[in-house]
Amino acid sequence: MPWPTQRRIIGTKVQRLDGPEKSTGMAKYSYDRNPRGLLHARILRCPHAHAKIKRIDLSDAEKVPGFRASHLAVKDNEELMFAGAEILAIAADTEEHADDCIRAVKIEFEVLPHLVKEAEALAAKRGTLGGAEDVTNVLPANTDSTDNFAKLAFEGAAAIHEGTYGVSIISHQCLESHGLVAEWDEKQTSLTVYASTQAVPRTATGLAATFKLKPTDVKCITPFMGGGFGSKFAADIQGELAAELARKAKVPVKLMLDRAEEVTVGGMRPSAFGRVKIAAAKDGKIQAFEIECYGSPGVGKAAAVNFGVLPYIYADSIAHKKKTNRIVRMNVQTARAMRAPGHPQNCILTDQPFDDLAAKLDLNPLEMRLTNLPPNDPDAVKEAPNSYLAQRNTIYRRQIEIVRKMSDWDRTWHKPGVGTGAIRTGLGMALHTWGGNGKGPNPTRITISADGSVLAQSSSQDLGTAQRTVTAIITAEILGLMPRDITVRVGDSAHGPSTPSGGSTTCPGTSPAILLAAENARTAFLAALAPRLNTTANMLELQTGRILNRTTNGTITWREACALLQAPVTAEGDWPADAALDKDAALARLWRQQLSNQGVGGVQIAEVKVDIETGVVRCSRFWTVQDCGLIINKLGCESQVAGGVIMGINYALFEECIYDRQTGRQVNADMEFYKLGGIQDMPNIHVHMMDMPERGVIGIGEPPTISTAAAVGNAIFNAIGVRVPIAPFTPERVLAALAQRK
Amino acid sequence: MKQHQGAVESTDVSRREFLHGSAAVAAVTALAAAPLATVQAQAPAAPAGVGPAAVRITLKVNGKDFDTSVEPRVTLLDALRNYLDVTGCKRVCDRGTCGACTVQLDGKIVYSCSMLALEAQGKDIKTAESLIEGGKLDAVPEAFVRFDAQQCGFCTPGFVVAIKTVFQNNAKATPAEVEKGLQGNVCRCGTYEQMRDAIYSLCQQKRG
Amino acid sequence: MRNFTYNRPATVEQAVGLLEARFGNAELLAGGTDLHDLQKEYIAQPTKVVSLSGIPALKAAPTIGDKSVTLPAGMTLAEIAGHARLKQWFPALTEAADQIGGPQTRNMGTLGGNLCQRNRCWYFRDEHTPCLLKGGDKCYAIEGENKFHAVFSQGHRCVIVHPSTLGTGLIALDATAEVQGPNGKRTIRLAEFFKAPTARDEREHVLAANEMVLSVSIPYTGLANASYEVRQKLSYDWPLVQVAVSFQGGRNGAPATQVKIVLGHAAPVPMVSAAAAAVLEGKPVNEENAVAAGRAAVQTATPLSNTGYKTRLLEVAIKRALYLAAGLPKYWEA
Repeated sequence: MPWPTQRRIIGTKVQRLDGPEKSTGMAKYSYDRNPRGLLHARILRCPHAHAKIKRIDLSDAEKVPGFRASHLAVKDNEELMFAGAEILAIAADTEEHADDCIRAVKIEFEVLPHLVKEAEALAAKRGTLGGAEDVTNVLPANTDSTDNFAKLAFEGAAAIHEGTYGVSIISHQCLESHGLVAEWDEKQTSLTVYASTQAVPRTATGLAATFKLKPTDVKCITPFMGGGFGSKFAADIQGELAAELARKAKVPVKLMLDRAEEVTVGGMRPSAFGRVKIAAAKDGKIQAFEIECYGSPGVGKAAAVNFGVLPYIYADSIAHKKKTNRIVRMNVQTARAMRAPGHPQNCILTDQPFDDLAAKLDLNPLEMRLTNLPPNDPDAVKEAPNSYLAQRNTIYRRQIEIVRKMSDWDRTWHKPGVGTGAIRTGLGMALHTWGGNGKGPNPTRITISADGSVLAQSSSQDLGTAQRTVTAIITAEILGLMPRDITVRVGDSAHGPSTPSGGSTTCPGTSPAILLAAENARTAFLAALAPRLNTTANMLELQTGRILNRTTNGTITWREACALLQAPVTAEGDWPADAALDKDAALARLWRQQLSNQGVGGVQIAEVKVDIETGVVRCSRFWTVQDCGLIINKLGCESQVAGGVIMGINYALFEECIYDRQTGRQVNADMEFYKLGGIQDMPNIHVHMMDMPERGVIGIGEPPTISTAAAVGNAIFNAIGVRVPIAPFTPERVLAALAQRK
Repeated sequence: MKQHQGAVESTDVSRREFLHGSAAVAAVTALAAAPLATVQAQAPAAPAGVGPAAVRITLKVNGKDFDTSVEPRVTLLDALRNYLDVTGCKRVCDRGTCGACTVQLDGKIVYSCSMLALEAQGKDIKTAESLIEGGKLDAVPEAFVRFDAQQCGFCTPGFVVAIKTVFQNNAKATPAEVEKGLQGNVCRCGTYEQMRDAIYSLCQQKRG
Repeated sequence: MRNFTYNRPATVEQAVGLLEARFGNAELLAGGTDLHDLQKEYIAQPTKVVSLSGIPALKAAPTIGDKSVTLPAGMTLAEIAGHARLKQWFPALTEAADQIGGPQTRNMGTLGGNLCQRNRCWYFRDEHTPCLLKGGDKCYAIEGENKFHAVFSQGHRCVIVHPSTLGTGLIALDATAEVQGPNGKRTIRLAEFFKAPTARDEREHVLAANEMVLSVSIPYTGLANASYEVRQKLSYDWPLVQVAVSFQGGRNGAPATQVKIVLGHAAPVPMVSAAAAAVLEGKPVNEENAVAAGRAAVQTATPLSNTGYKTRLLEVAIKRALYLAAGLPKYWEA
């Protein structure tokens, strides 16, 4: 079952099936669910960055009109570790009354010392952070070095550059906030949630575990969801609280975070700051990369940034490497995965010093990138010729040549800082990679009915990635129909298991299963049809919109054929079990290297205009070349890539969570001073998709957002001739850098 | 009787049509409700205020009158979403910044999160839901679909209403004028590139 | 939002009659773009909201007289920004109006509301931060996150910047506001309209709690005028700094007289820079003199820990506003 070599629909531009519902407000998101008898819930949160509760009294709250139920979220004597930590939730008949109830709770805190600035947390005494366990604000440093680094690294280098780079904590800012509507059955033995989630089945099973129910007794329904970006893989505390309240009140409860909550507890991306020393030979070949870096995942202990991929992209072509990284914990929410976790930060810490070094060597950074591209891995060439490792040098080389022409780099690039006037133009580039491998289980069920309709169902979710449309495209391709002919139902845990939509794994994880389901449906359909046409299945051929009967050489239309069915035809498709794939090399090759794959490369170039009198930066044009293996929907792919770039421009220029050291609170937990660009703030984005069908389907969600900020940073450097070290590159930072210019 | 916020529409049939098959909310209200008419009567002395108890109001949404009861503090956005089950306008920032709650009021766009429901009485309120009739899409959402100017879709109804309004006020609007009309709307997925395709097409201009 | 009684008076007198002698309990509702935000944050907790939507006089068209133009307080920002004659005469006002928020805010927000809006300080607007304006004993911005705060901070216990960009323009245009109180009307020069608040009971203007703005009159003097904002975003954003200027002459080598230079988002009130005006007075508007005016304006700046960059922005904004008013090329749009 390889992908069809002649593709009628796959790889073309297909409009998303649910476009009309979404664009007219008819699509019902979790936030939009208003079941009969619905109560609204709000959460009382800790206003302090670090505190203990001394006293809590709900008696007044319970007397507020509309009060229905409350549920405590903290244990006795529990330390609250960040501003926004949950204390309790109350459900009331209206949102307004729920607010009144929350405000009527009498509560006293013992306020404890806090840390909300990375540099301060780094320097602070152990134990300031607090916490029940023996935790510390700085986890032990992790150092990793190549042999004889001190002796060999910088020996004979033509140029050595040292600099500081970094990027602040940012927030996911999902437009539909986290939350859900919870509804129990009358006997309170089964629960249905309408959750804004990237993992429909996992949200259901997680709640089943919390409430000690059979997994099949919790249903999660999410036909539409308003953005996740890595922050929505579970019901979370607010979801559990909603379910608790719904159980107590015996009616459905809606609990969606408000904007300040969404920003302060709904997810953040760790910061990363690094002191880099980088050296190269005269021809630009990098010989050494040394970094001392730190970042904060908030109060959590997870790796701040995946420093395993430092130096980014070029690691395998640099002989001498040394990295020391420290995880700095502070009293802010725990980091969550955010679109290509770690990669944007690593790209900022690598691709920017790269250009500074190129400037020292008086080299064109595009040429210098060609010099330093990682080699195609010879083992991979033999064992997995379709893999990124086997092809990365070839892919990047091709991409750089394409983007070089698109951007007219050879004519428009100039040496850093060259230019006149108040507005300086600059070009900058950066490279990225991402895995994006799919896997099972992702069972898809296809039903063909006598009325000619085709239904494709899975529990997978559509985050805005047009997963619904991907399902229709593949099904239609195989069944000789058009995507609009397929009814797709996704986002319902009743349809079986599916993998969470994270890490660009959904399209590669589901597409092969959909392909198999469609092929099985075709086989079953022809088998059911053959006796009705007095022939055998092997004499029937499914063509576009019709069936050829080789016995008679006659054709009938799809609808005529379906009308002959005595019962609906149903078929399923799914990945082989992991164990089977691990055992059978040929099977593994088919599923993991031909039907789907992992590892992509991408190259981006930004053009910026910097107002050197005000420090205001506008990204004026953008070019990106992206591979993603076999393209299923070119329209959707291009949307994803442009969207990733726009998110990258946002965090290059605007986004930053700002915490106040006095109160420990975020001062911009909003959309006013947590800035996001509007359409006028964004350039035209020229997307070139590199179709490599032989590699199979690879995910495209994360890659295009990775290298954008580094490309913008390099473009600013090119425009003004001086590095702005920390993103976002705001006017005050640009002016400060300009003031340093000799 | 159960106390619940609910919508009472003049006729059940049109309400069903309006909701397009979504789950209907309970249409019962037992809250003490003072008709607002008393407030609007002009008299030399200041007319009596209403509230803080819930007030009976009528909102004209997408051409149809809806009755409900809301406390004075309820915003137009919350009245539409929580009391009338009109959910095309979304609550995102809830502070008049992001534009997801954008509705048309007497032909002009406003942030429905920053206006009291009481203040919207007697006005012609239009939401994105008005841009599909009998399954036929208006040109603006149609262009959004054609060029894929939406991803998660949560900001989209606000953008669509804002663009529609630009063209209603100026059929010959240029792409730059349309973009200016979107200053008050934000998209997080990053659909602006595709939105620009849609805008140029609506302006009947070729993108350079 | 705390619940309240809603009043919809039909006349200005009725509206004023519903107000109280102290701020806090009764609030005027104009466009709603600021009040409801404050209510949702529980910074404003009125028990009585007095809507101005039922008062036709506040929403009339501008009155164009022989010597001045009078704008009713209920005129929306969009109406101001789109008014052909106002655009021709008072770009310092209309340009500022046109850059506020997005079309939604401009359709809702009113002239009176813009002048009486509360500051945007993120500490002030956080219920859980007990700053001076909420009855606390310190201004958190002074030692905290203050990159959007005052450049001219000396003498101020609370270092907000005044958010009104119309106020800046109107001061440059020498406008006056007519105000109604319980004992009748009075007229206030816009230059004396704003005040730096330091306590819970104070506002960013000099009006009493039971007064309201009826209208604003701008003398028709034929002054060249302009407003320039340094903005990070083109879409919805607050200016980092704003400058409004007006002067007689100044073009084509002619000397500029009656020079006024007003700085916005620089201090707790829109600030008239006499020093900058003095430098330019009697000289033509050209690069040298515009730069000198900018430099003079910031001589007395006392930036906070993170507003040093704004002194530079003010210099630039003064130069660019003068260029705009004098019809010199917009070199920054190259």
